[in-house]
Amino acid sequence: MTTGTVDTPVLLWVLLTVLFVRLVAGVTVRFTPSRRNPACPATQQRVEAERRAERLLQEVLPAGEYEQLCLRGYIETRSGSVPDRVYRISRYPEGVTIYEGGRYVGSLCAVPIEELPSGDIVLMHKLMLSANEDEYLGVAHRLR
Amino acid sequence: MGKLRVMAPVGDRTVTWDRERAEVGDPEAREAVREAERIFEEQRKRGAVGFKVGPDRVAERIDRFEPEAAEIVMVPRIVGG
Repeated sequence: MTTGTVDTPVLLWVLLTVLFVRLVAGVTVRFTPSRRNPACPATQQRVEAERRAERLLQEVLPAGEYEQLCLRGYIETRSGSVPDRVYRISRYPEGVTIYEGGRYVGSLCAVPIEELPSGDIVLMHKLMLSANEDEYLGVAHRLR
Repeated sequence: MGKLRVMAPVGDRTVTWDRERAEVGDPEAREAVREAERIFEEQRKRGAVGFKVGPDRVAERIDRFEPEAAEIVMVPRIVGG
């Protein structure tokens, strides 16, 4: 069946596609982080928390490590108990990965019991693996 | 100055004390040391771990408050993710 010179099924598909695209765009726009109101107190609090955590990281990390974190997105720390093992601590959601002899051998997943700014999370992993490795390994979930 | 920094969701909470004045018995400085120690113990009871830190030193875990430390960072208890 046709409507004028256009098939009705084609018209229906076009209409459904347009509706779908608008639905997806609307959901995306609603939940896009850039829509978060910077004047909102909760946003400002979060920004300040991240800034403080970043400053703490800069103050505590050994010379050169903070720069490495900024350039590469991760820092590394040698295991004190397993020979030839290095832990790579990423700023991003990858978390902690394990390398032995230069080869990736697995990942570790450990989280604080309360939410922390991202800079504090990096420092948490660094301090625990540097100076409290056994306890960290006893708690973290090993993936692969 | 000695510093105790406790990691928290809103950014670290910092408590400071004058180490030299505390050593010579200044009441205000000693009170600040006692407050820092109280916070340290309170966090330990919640499962936090304390570390002596500094840019020129290797981090060291400590289980008791050390007023002569230049900087102590307390990390909250962690669990498997």
